[in-house]
Amino acid sequence: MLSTVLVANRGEIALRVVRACREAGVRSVAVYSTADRDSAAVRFADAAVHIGPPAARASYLNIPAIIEAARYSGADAIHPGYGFLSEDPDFAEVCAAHGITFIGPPPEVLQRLGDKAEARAAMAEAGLPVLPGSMDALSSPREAADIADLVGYPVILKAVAGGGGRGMRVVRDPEQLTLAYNETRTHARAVFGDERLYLERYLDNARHIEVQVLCDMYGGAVHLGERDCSVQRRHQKLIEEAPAPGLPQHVREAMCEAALVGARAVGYVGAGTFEFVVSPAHEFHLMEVNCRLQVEHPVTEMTTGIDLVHQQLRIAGGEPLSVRQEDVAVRGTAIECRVNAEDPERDFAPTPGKLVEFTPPGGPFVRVDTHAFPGWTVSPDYDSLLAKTIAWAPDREQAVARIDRALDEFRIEGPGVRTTIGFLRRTLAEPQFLAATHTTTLVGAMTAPREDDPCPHDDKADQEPCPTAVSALPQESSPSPSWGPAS
Amino acid sequence: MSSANGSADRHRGGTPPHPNAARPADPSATATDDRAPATAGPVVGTESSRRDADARQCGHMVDEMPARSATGPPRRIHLETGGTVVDIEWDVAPAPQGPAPAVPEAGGAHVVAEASAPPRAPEPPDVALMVVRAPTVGTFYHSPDPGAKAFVAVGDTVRAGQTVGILEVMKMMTPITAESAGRVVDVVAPDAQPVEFDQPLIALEPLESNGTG
Repeated sequence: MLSTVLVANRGEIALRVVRACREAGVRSVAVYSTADRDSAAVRFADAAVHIGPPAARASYLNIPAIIEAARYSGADAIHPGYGFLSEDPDFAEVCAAHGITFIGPPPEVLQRLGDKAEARAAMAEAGLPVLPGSMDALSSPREAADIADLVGYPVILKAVAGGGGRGMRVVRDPEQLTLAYNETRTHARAVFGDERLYLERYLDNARHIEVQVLCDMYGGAVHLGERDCSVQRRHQKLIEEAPAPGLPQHVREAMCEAALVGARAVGYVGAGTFEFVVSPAHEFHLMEVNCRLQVEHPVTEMTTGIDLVHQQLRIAGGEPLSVRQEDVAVRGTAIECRVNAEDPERDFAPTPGKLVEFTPPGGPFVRVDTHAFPGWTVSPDYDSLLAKTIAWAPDREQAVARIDRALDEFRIEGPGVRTTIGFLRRTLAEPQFLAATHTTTLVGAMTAPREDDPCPHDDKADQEPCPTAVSALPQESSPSPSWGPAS
Repeated sequence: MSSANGSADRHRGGTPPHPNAARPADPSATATDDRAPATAGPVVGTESSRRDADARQCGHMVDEMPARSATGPPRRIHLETGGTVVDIEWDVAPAPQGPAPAVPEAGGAHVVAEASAPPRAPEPPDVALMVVRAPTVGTFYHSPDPGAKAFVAVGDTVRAGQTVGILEVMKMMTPITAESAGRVVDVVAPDAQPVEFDQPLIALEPLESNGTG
């Protein structure tokens, strides 16, 4: 087992990793920016190192500072959390060069699967179904148009260095393609430092269902079932659940098996997620592979009883999987709601500020993953995720009632601070959600633009935020490819 | 206290280890250090003080003292474990400054600021020290090469932009410079030791533009 783990992240996931370290008897070191000096992870870790000012580029994305902090604190491993450097192959290589275990897949796997176009090709080669589209990065708008004509509209343009729902643009009208191509390219260059794009057929009314896998260094691989993450706003997940409701068992089995095939084909090590888009007819297509722990991992933990972070520590420590596939049983339903410090009345504009009251819910089978506490100041420098609220119940109907009750109990107040709790509860009450017939169009339909909208685009919900809108998401401002929860 | 052996620091299921002031990577550092403030800086980065938020709060305040204190940097800092005692000594100027400031009591910690003799010549009440701080995490060196003469010593006058030390970050050496002219009153961070971001390195008394001070 590892001896000392440095947590190269912040917020709720840093606390999550520190907790797992505690339980496993592993020493934990938190790194923090000045803005996070009083955060929960910093207080609960065994040691902490101040690595930089609030700006992520100078702190949580600052590789030399993090490596020095590892040396300073005697860490033999680094857990990168999600976002930030978690899928950065350069960071994984630098760790290896310094004799530090990077808790995640090897650099070459990160490199291959982090290039979303190459990942598509690799998975197709392994025999997984992928959406029709380009197999390489696009070389020109002309090529994009040719491929789009071949696969049929609507299509979606995606940044090769993107992922996590960022840097994407749906195009429904061939006349719009060249403009969309150029704009998406510019955006990708600014945000990811890599302007390459690829193109896929876009499925309206699809579900986003992903499979969790665990792989050790010895070829051992298991899946822990799937999660349905169809409740998304602008490709950012808001509500996730496990298992995917109404998914026929044979489809579930096929998807989980496909994920294992894909994982083995690339030599995956660690915890990974294979994201699929599933049509109303239950045809599934591999969309992307996430080489990190996901934000929504708690719903898998609640339904399987398996501690994913603990498994990550074990795997990174060179131990074989302690779980066999026949040991994995998915029981009941777990639902997670992401509570963000955003104002749904103002187009989900982030609302940083000091929390005067912060009282999370409790009760049976309710879990809250949060770094916040009364007196905590929500910084404008980072993403707006405040707390993940998760509820488990023996069936979905009870789980919905329970998570709604939990959200009702949650008290968050602060000058200028707003949360998405009300919006989440509205979503839980939507007939489509209750009937589990919803798709990725649900939130877009709920937040459809009004007539006085300053950004009159078609299919606004599918596009990146309007550059002139007030609601600039903090995570878009960093040019780094790994930034924010992104999951 | 050693940081290399993680298991020695942890009590499983028992009472948490007591906070202490030793820097995690420096087993030779002690809780009482007459070199003062910055070695108490690592209270923030210290091993088991993670579990004592109050001691950390004190650490933060101690960190800030060289910059804020109008009576000069503390002469001595003593930080004890178990019950958390923090003693801070200043060279106290006579009135108008009054008794040395006391760090507010926090939780189980109590802080005593003691006057010590002999007082130095009174500082002008509105002089604040300039503290050169670490721009990032790294190892701080007093001299350009091992064995070479240190860049600065207490009493030296430095001009704006003058190199006062070196910070090594992943094998790259970065000069640490004084932002403006001043006189070195304390070399706060020890030589060849890891430092955190923003950790105080060198304390300077700003020079008046008319040359006095």
